[in-house]
Amino acid sequence: MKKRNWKRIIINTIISLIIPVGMFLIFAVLSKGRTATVKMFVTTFRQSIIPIIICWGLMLNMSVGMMNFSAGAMMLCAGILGGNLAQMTGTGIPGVLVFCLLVTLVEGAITGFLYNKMRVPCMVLTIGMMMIWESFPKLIFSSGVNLPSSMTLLARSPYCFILLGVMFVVFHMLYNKTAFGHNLRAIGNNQAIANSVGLDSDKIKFASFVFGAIFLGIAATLYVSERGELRNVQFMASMTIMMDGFMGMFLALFLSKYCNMSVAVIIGSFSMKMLSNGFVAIGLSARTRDIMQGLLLLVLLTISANAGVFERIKTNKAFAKSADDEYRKIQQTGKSIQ
Amino acid sequence: MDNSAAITRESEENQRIQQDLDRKAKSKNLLNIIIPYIGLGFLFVFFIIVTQGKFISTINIENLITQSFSLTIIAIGASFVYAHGGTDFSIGATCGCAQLVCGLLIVSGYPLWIAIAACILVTILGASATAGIALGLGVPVFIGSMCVRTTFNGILQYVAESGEVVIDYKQYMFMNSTYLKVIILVVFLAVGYYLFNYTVFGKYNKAIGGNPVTAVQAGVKHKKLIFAAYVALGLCVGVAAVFTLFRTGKVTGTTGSGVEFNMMMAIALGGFPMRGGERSRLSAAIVGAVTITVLANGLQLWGLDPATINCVKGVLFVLIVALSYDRSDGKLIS
Amino acid sequence: MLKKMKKCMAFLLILCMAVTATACGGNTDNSAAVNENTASSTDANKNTDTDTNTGSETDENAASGEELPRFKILFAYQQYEDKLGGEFKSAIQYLCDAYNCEAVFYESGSGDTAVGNLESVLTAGDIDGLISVGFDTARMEVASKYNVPVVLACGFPSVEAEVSGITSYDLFLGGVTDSDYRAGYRAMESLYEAGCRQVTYSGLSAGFAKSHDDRTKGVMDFLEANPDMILLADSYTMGKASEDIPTFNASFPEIEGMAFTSMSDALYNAIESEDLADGSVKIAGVDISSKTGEFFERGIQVWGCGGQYGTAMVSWAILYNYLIDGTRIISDTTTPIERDYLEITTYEEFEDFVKYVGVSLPVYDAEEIKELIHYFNPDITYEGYLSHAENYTLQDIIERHGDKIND
Repeated sequence: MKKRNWKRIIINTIISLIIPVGMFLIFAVLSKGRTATVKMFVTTFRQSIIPIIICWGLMLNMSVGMMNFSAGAMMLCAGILGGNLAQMTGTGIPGVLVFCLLVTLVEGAITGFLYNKMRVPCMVLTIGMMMIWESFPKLIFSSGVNLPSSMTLLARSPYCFILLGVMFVVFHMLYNKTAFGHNLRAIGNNQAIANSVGLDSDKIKFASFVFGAIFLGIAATLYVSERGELRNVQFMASMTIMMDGFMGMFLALFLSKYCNMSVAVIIGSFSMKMLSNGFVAIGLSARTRDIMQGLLLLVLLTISANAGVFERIKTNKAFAKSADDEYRKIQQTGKSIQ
Repeated sequence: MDNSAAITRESEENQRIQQDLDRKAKSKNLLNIIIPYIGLGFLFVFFIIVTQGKFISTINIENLITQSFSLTIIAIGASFVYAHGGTDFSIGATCGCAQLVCGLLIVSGYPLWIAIAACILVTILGASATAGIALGLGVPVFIGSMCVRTTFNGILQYVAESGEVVIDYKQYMFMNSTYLKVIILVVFLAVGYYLFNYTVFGKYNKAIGGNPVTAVQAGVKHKKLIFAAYVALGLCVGVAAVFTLFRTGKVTGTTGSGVEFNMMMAIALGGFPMRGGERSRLSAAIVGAVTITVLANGLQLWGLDPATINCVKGVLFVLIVALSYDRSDGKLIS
Repeated sequence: MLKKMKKCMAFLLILCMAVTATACGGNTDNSAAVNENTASSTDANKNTDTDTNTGSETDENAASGEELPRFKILFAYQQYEDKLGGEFKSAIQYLCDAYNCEAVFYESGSGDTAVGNLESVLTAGDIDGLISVGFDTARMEVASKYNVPVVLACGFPSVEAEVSGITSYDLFLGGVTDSDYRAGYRAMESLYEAGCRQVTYSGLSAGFAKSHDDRTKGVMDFLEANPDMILLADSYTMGKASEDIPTFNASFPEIEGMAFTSMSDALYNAIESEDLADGSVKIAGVDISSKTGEFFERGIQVWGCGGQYGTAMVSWAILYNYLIDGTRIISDTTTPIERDYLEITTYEEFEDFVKYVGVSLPVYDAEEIKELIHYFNPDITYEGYLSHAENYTLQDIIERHGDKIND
């Protein structure tokens, strides 16, 4: 039976929690205790539910190196179409959920299909798809969507937490316990080798778009329920919808070295939200918040990218020293190298 | 003798096979080059028809030149960055910040040349920061550029909170002269073309994009060249920022937003390979920039409502990229 | 090679077909942008909609008795998806229909894009006049190049260089603006009068829209003048004000009042979600939405305002004056005509607002607009416009339209 390295687990857990705990303590001091309340914790956690779910959806694409810029537009399109269709069919809250999911699934399938057929980088394709998904609902429902209060319950406690729990289990199982998740990570590590061992990367990438769309559909349902209304946007304004999840994704990638991805996403998105709320509580402007977020990401990713750099330098120095010693020995004994 | 005959036969067959492969590669390459031009030509003809000739009226040609000027200049600089497989998401923020600095200097009474120099310096600084962060700290250039983007955006909006910066538009009308822009465009195109195709600067950037390991092994000082490519981009963005300021006459909190995405779209539309390499062509980036402008101008001229314009732009973008994008064999797409 | 060429031709043909199909719905004469008569909101907002067609059907045709010349009037606004954009569209379309004009709506964009969009739209041809929400010297130069007169609506530059730049053009006819500064000031004043001393404020990112910047200025000036009112926190985002509410609520349990630069259903939903709808916190803000009445009824909202589209109608009248007989109403174009918002402080006023401001008849019908047009009313002057602006109240609208609108 495989022995668990408890020491490693404890260290990793501590490292994973350093950022959120550290932020909590710093802001608790700076805000003179305003952020150190249960209410603030619950509020922050509730506000990070949508970014967490978006992040899970994006992570399925990011695992194979694909950046999906159209996620926000997909959610917006799904929210507007789903909300309106639910009202037209009189299906209430289940209708909102089902129609939002259906729309994002179609969007994900189209994007995945085009990606496989067109063979262009995901970044490029999804910019074009962003323009299409932003404009499409405008052609059908030009004034967006307005949901009555009775149809917005999903965004409230405890329903939003229940949904989060369900999606956590779904992502965890999908990413860690299914062949799809394993194959996804295999392709992300080295696509050439994955292809050589028989993995169909086209099929798996298509599936990543479709599965990712499930998470975006749930996020869209929560988004439209939370706001109660959605308006059409243009000029890539939909990117603001996914920005919180997007930024959390990079932090999650850093934390995934120390904990499971499903947990890393929660910690990452929650930390980014805590950062944002902390700045509001201490009176800093939105501009300063954005700059601090950018700097924090830079610091963390620099640490991540340069992890082991000191060991490498030490090893190189030791290697250079032994090479010098060897060369001196040769010179002293007068032996020539054949 | 039988063996030598067999070898000769094999050689002849090999030569035939090789010639066949060369012919196919050449025609594929030619196709990749001409498709963006066909797309552009098609759009021209299409818009001439649907706008009943207004698209090629003198005034609209002038509009097309002024509307495409900034993006084309930026595309020239961006070619060097994309040639080595890089990217830059901070273009818009640095452009906005540079216009802010230029505007503030002009409003404060500084001579024009100082304001222009400062504007270009800011963009070079921004691009250098992006490159420096990526090369020095070892993080992906995407992260470096996002960090620079949030910083410069923050500065721009912080200053814009206290009010717009407005210059005396009429005093600097000469900066909006179409002839001046054409001259500058021609100069940049000529210099850019020369640097990209006939100097080590351009060739080595393409080499890095093709295979960074091989390039380094061959003695290419890749860090210096990558840095220089970003400086070139910064210079081009700075020039574009100067003329954008004089075209709009003011700086607000949203100045420069979206430029990086337009740039990426231009690169993709022209068939420029996002990973760079030897198939990178300056003309691809230029054609892409012009195509985007023609699309926006033509659709607006045609009289479509905004929702349809954006949808059509998105669909056409996806279609044209599907046709024109360079998909070299063996390259893994992500 | 042949196979590839065939593939390319097929793609191009699909492209042609797709674009042609779009062309059937996108022809300039039949463009959705022209003569569109869509309602601004869904059924849920019916009570606060302006139902566009009814107005032009029930009114007397202002052109009865003589054929008026046909003008093509361009209206520029950021976007028409929001409630205000829909109201602008309805009101301008109504006036154009009544006076034998053609309305063209386009989304202006910002920065370099705004200048380019205007160049393209004017090149498309035959625009006789432009009404714009938001403008600058660069676009005035473009309009001047195309010989198109311009009137501003619901906003006027405040930077001196911009004012002197725009007003130096002969084709600039002046502007009519809402008193956004006063709206911001009044929002805070209402919270103060309701007993709130610890407040928060959520606004739009600075520099994005001048009207919002002016409202913020009004808010800040009131706070400065009343130091016993404390601003606990403020936040400026791009449409994410509803996310500030839970954060403010969690950070500052002592909040007594919240002011917003723009109200929307998302904000009301957030307030309810946070259990702030029990009256412990008062709210005030600009713009009326479908839930505003409910919040007034419950005593949560103490102040609101709206009715900006009336300002655009007055701008239309100023432009029409110039087009039809060359009359320039505003001689000193550096000073805009300022109009107050229609303010609401009770549920009853909200009901009146919904009935008289947002339903079958715009705040000025075609006959009433005639009073502002020199061609029909030679006695109209700039002073007449000023007093007309002063009279813009809910009560005035009720008096004028009371017998025209059925219960």
